[in-house]
Amino acid sequence: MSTVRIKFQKTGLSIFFSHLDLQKVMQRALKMSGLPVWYSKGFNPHIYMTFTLPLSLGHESLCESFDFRLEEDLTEQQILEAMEGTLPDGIILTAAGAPDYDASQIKYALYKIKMYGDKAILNDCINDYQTNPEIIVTKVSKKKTTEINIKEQIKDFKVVEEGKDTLTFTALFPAGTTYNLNPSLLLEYFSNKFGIDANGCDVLRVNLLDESLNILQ
Amino acid sequence: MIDNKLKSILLSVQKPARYTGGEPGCIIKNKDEVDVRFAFCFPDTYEIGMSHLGMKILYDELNKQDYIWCERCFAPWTDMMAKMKEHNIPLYTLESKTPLKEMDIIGFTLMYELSYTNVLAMLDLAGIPFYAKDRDESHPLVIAGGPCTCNAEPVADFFDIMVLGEGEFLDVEVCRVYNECKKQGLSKLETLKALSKIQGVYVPSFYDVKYKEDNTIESVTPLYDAPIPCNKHIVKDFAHLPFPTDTVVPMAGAVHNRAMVEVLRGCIRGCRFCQAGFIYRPFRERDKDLINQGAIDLCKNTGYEEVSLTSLSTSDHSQLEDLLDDMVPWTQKEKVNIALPSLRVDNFSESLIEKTTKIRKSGLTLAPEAGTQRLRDIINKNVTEEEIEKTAKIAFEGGYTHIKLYFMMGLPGETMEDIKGIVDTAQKIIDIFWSMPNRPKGKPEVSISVATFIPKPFTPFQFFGQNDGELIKEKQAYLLECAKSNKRIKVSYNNPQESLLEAVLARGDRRLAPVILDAYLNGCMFDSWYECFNYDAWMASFEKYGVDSRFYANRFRPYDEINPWDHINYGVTKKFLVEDYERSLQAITSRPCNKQCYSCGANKLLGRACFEYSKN
Repeated sequence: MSTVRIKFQKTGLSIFFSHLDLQKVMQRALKMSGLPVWYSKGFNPHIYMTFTLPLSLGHESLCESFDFRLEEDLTEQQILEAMEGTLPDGIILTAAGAPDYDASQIKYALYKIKMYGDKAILNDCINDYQTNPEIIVTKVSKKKTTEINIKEQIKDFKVVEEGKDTLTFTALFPAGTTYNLNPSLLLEYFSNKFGIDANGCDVLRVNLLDESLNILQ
Repeated sequence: MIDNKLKSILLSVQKPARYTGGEPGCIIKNKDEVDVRFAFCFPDTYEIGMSHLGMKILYDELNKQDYIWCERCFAPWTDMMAKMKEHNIPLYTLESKTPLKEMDIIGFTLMYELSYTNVLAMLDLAGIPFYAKDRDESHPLVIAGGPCTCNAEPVADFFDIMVLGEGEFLDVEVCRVYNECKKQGLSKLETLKALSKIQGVYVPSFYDVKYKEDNTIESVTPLYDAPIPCNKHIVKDFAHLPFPTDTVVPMAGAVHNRAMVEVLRGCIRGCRFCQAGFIYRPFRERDKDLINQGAIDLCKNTGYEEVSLTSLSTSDHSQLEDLLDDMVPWTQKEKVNIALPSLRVDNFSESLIEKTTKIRKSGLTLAPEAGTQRLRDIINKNVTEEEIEKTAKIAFEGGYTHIKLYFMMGLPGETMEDIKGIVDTAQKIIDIFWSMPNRPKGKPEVSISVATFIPKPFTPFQFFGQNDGELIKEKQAYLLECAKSNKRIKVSYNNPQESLLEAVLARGDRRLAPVILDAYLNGCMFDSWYECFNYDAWMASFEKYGVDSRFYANRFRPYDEINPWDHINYGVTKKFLVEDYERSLQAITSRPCNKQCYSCGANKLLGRACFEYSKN
């Protein structure tokens, strides 16, 4: 038996289904592939799957992955070929192999975010972020609602592209098994203050990084 | 295909994957290479619609034709509907995101009466006029199919045509004839005339309905040589009818998200309350090898972990045990669970339970339907108390501790004794559990679910007046009273106001069309969803048009009255329905079709006897 990590992109139409739906999609894809997948041995046998880091609905990603177990060793090519044609639009498998890092190593995620709207307003957003010492947002979790200063948590914020009515920036947001900061919080802040359409922004998770900001791959 | 405006809207509503398509198995064609673009519309949410086997079958059949592209469309939930209206986004198909207005044919499936307002909501959102008479050649042809078309007279004025009976070949034939007419540049009227020649096509506007002063029907007169009666269409050789083995696999959770194989069509039982049991006659079985091979392919192509052998009464398949013997080895290997959703109490066996619970144990539901033997005889549910007890015992021995029982209330001839009988039946099952030395661990639980009986067209009870709301409430209260002392019995029942509306629409006539439209315009939608159902708004619409709901729901209908559906022929004759109703009044049961033929008339559709009776 061996543990396999499949890496994939979640783009296009597939951004509209949730993490829970994604688990079912992958489970059925593994089933369709005919791969010798290992099942748990209980009253309700099921495929044992672990997703590295959940992705918000509506976000695209180039660096998603999940682990499962195979009953026999297969090559990357064998696995990827078997999985062909089993996935919905927008899910693209990029690699399959032994897990290369532990999820607990993840500390940051690099996001690339494209905002749309009136140029002056987009510039206001960026100026506000860069000049304001504190960006206070309300974080709502199941248990409590807290006010946090997200500016002190975000690293390497930079504008990378400016179009006629678009603006793209990149930044590192805390991520991992213990603490996550959803970049949508920043977009909602811009939305509340300047009226941009937070849901209309393109949010792309580019890669995951460890504590010393080395890319995990 | 999805621009930023739509993306932003999708991310602001619940479960956006309902509105995006792109699932594995969905079919994309080049719109320039097809002649007929067909939108299969399901007037309820994605989750409900994607559970519907009929849609999968027709999607497959239509798309097998190179010149047709069949796409899907569902009713957007209220949040999405409001957003689409606000932003002027017309209702679109999931596959190509094409506005419905640009399609050639829009086909609605009418599975239940309480979805009628959703049809109007979808037409509205598509920018298509409601009434057929207000649409011309520039609009898509709006058609309907599904079980409700056996009497969809209340919504008949909204549709250009309705297809009666089984759609596999019929829908393709409609597309073929439509395409020929389109190529010849025929007018809408000429197209409808050509379509009306196909067996199973009903053109509502070709039938002139006149009413008497007392609101009953005076006459129904066909126009343009339209057939009277208008016959339903069936697939004669169902045994060898292939079925889809590669279907769209929904990503956002469908209610019944599993592989489904229809093992037989029709039903031999003749339960007098059951519309499906009569309108899907005659009984036909699919060949067991075809089922087995298809199930293997289907599971492989879809990745489902459960395969359901569906039908009205799966255990009546004459080769079921053999079929399960064929299926057990591969399902075990592939860890696929076999589900038998419609088991009967009278032929439930230990081997069935053993074969279907090899992988995972699913729930066990039995349907005694009525609480006493006398009432079960009236409704012709040929199940005895001993059989119910025996089944419960087998189930407990098989490790089940939770059993769900379905009942109805408001049945013809019902008394308070019968209501008490429902709880007594449940209690008996619990007593059996405790009396068993080899009972499973834990405590037993029996859930009883009691629905209000709704008389439906083409059943022997089509003449019967539904119990009014007050009486049903009284019976529900008494049921709770009876069950109060036992914590192991859980009782649930439905809203009698919903049942009243369903009863009105089920046996309604064309005078209801303006009422339904008015109710929709006043905000009625998703009437089968308790959070949306607005009884007061419906009653206001009835009042506005001077229509009495009691006239349709609660009145006994004399045998010689012309019913709104009498010009439609589903095989079963009115003469038979009267005879069987008379039998019910004397609590005389009928035997299953395979044992004795009561000449219901459905064999005429086959052109031969349904069974070889000499064998029995």
